[in-house]
Amino acid sequence: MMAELRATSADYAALALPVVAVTGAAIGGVWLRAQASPARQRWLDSLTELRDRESPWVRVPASIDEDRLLGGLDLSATLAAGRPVLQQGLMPAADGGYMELRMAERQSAATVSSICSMLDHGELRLERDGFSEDLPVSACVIACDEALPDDDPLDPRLADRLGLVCALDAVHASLIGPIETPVSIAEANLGWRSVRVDTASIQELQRIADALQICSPRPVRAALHTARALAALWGCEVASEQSILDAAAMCLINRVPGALQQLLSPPSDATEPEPPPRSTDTDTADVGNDTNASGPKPEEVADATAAVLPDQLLAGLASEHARQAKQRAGGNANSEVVGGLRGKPMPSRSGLPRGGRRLDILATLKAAAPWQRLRGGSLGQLRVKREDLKVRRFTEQTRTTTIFVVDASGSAAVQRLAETKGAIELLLAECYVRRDQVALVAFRGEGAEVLLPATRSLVRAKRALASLPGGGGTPLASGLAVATQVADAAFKRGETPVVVLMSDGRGNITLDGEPDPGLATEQALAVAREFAARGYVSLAIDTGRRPSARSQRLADAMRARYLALPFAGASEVNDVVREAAA
Amino acid sequence: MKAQSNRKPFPFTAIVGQEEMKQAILIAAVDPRVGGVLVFGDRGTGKSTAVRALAGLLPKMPVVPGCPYNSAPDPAAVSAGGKSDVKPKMIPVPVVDMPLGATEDRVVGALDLERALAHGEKAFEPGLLARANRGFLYIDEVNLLEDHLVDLLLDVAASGENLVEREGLSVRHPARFVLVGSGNPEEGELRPQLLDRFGLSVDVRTPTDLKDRVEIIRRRDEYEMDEAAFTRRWARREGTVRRKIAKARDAVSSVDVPETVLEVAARLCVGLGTDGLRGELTLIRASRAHAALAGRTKVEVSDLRDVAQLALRHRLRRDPLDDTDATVRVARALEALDD
Repeated sequence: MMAELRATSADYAALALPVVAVTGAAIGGVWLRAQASPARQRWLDSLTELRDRESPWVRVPASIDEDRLLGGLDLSATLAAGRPVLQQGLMPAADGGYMELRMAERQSAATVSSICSMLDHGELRLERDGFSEDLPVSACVIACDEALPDDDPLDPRLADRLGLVCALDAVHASLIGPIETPVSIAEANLGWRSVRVDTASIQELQRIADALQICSPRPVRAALHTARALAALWGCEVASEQSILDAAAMCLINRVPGALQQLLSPPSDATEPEPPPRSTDTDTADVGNDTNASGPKPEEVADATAAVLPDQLLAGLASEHARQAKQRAGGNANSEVVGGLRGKPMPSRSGLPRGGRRLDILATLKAAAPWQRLRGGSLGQLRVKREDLKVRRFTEQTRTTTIFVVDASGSAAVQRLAETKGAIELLLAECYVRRDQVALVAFRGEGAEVLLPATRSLVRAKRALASLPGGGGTPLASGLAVATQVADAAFKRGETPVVVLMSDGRGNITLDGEPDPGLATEQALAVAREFAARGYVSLAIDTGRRPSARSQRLADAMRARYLALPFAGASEVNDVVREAAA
Repeated sequence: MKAQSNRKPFPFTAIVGQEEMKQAILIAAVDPRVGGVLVFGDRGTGKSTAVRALAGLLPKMPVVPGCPYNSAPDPAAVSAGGKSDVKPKMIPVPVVDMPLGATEDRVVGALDLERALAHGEKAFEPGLLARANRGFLYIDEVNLLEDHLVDLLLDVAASGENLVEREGLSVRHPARFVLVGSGNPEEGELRPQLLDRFGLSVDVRTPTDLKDRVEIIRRRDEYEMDEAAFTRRWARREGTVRRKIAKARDAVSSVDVPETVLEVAARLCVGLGTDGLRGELTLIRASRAHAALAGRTKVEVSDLRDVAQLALRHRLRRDPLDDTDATVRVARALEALDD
């Protein structure tokens, strides 16, 4: 029998259930990509039924604090006992069972780090609030990822460690349920580790991972575990080619959003590149295997898998994956401001509630609690000292808004404008990677206009840019004035504005729209100085044929970094924008 | 006492490839004065595996029994106290793992509440910095560490002692440790001051060779399926490395550094424009440990070449107009030495 892909992603979702139940924590966990839906609930319910009834199932809410997750001082117990009492966290409570992570994509970096460390080492190192303990924790993480395409994706550190991936958004609830397996879960649980996987199969899985640009070895390891579990459930001692292909689908291919669905049902959309029909491919593979049809030979798996994964499609998936990886890589880890007065809450710190910082009452009480006996406090009366006081801290995500101010006048001759557009497009891609907002201001003829208010839509920015006509005078002062307004507005919204001026610096139209080169230049410098007073980070790119002193002077007045276009690479603009975010 | 986890770490020698990372860790194990190792790179390249494996390779060291700071027995002090019968205890060089969620009181130490409450005594309960004295302090995802902890570590790493002023306590204790950090630059950059504290820095990349990658999976898989059997199979090779480290540790201080090597080091650092003397010093020390590991008593220029990347690449000044990779710049400077 030839290995074949299953019919729908619902089949894989159903198949994942017994695999998780068999491998438990060894597989790391499940990356459950789905909005809250009956299908997802059904999947979770099915797993709770399948699992060993003795094993715990712990639900971790979105944005949980570290105290609750890892454990910390138990306030009331400490007060009652007169000595520090540890309150167990949710993570150690999940030992030997499952940890359901709600809205996993919204969990903080610290939470993700703790979970990753637990998955790697099978223990929780607790060094908090005077407690120092190594707690054994081995739990299977069920991460419910509800990210929409525009949201920040699940933290890649966690995604990397979750062995199985299930996408349930296109799946009807009625299709999900535990499937019958020849061998019971309890039995497979005992035997799955001794299932053999030959080197050729490992090679094949690695080859698929390479094609999908999955660099980390963890997903491939998870695929091995999955193949073993499947083989054990079907009573095999050696992982069959079907189990290898199923494992590749669930652990590797599914890792790239939409890839599996695309493979299972080739898109009918005419704009999509049509992958070769699957049946033909399978036929070819069949022919190749006629000669050695006895027993599962790893080479056949190689052929079969290669056959069901058309190269072209793989290449497409790979580039999509790379784009997503890059998008994440830009990251906004650097643009967080810790210690602010608003944003996501962080663990409290010692300090006095001054300068707008608010007292964290619970943390303060916890700090005071162990001391009550020493301080002679009595029941119902708490003695709090100055050193107990804890203040709240927050992290704030600062978004950067990059404002492009483009000279579209006649002096910026047609080919220069085209070059400028090209440069901006490059920069737009960078902004997109960093998930910055982009605004576009153009000036030509008699005045300046906001072509595009701050947006995160790359498509809109590109469209606005493409339809930008050139010609007329150079109302540089107006352009700068409008840019200043846009920057101010962004600043008021709590964003960090970065202004990128692209002009040859030859203003010849005044603020009133009159042609008067002398006055226009003066006004431009005046507006530039006004802009400089605000202290926004800015960059002046000289689009003139050769670098001019005039542009340099304007850049100085703006207190902008000056660059001449032939040398202004995307990386410089990136540096400037990053500087702004820091 | 802390309960020890009975999981066996993945053997150091079973890590496929990543020679530079292994080299850096061995050098740090031989000479703590090299000043720590930073391992930065891709996910799943065995960064934290390698560091954790280090614990199994370190020799034992003598300590004063019961000393929370792992103090070395000082013959003079013992006789002065009149207690010459205190026998030093041999313990493995500590590798202390600092979890990201650690609170400040557990890092620096705090008042021992149990004793304060039970006996009314003001006693100091040492923290992770005390436990790491004369050993290693490992921080995974060091780039995500909270700023106030980073400040604290910088201060302690610079002074070699931990100064605690809290809850009415005033304690000062030695805290000399080798700082080992790992992380993925995609998650966030490291503060320049902290970067500078690390003697050596390693850039780890995912291996591109399919054979290597399959071998990684195969070994890791064998290990996960049966830890005990796997570690037994690698025990002999681990033993060889352990002995090599122990020998090099004893020999390193007597390894000779000829004038010519010093000159080459100076030329290299000047050529690269590294800030300060720290780079040069680290370069020499790392070369010496490298020679000791090779069983030689004299440093050669080849030692210096082998460790130049590790010791210098994170010390180059960033030039905003030059995107050239630091590794490439060091390699160029090394080539220029021949001219």
